Amino acid sequence: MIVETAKIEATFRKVKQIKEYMQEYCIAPNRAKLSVEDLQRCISEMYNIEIEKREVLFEGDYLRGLVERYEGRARILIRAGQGEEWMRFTATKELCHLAIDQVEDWSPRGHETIQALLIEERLDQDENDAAQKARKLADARAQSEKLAEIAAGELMYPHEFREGDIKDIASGKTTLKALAMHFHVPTYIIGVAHHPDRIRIAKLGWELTNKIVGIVEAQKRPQKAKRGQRR
Amino acid sequence: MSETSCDDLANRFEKMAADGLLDVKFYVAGRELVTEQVCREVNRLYEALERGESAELDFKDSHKS
Repeated sequence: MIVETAKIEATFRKVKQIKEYMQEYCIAPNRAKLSVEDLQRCISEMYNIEIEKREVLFEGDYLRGLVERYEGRARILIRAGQGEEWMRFTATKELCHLAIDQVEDWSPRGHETIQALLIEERLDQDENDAAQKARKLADARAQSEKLAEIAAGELMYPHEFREGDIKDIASGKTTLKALAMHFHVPTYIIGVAHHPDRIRIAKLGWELTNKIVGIVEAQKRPQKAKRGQRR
Repeated sequence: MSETSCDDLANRFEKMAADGLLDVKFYVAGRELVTEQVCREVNRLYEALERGESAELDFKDSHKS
């Protein structure tokens, strides 16, 4: 899927803001296991949204969960029985939508969102080089789905651990499953996080975010110097 | 005239939008999925919800004392 660079930067900036908020307001925010309940509380406070989560018992193989947004509130619905780690990841991903989605990413026409998402998934799986080169920017709703998944991955399995973990796996010091148990995420999510494409997006996202933070900090400094000179 | 699961879902979301739904996003997993399969499952989710087959979800993992 082709995702807009500006959206990648915005997503990682929001992840950084969430981590900073959790640092300030949660006890033990840096533990390996992300507290989904603390994350929900932080996002609710940061974005002024009342959030409800429910597990729903229904037969399904493909739908892990969904999030509905209304004015001032949201409801997250997750398929029961898919294992705690998948339920945690799904809840985190849906919470991330409430933080990262802009108004232009919203649509109540969910059937169309599903269609847009599946078109991009099919194109992702097409190994034809010509088809890949002809790819255009994905529909905003599909981009939002991918970015929320990336954001959830960043919160539950931070980027700073990944390159070291990849080396440790290569040298036999650890395994995907051991990492998954440590971070309390599905093994599949660790594997996705180690994929070169995901590493590339995460590096880009963090570079862009830290660059913008650096620029903002630099803009503040001349004003402090001026105050010093007046004295 | 039979309606597809996607038609049913479209009707459902139209009613929900009239009641204030601004946005809905999904987490879908699997390869070579067909839209109709996914719409069928979303409909099943809402039908289960209407039957009361759901419960509040609390992971009880807060680090707050």
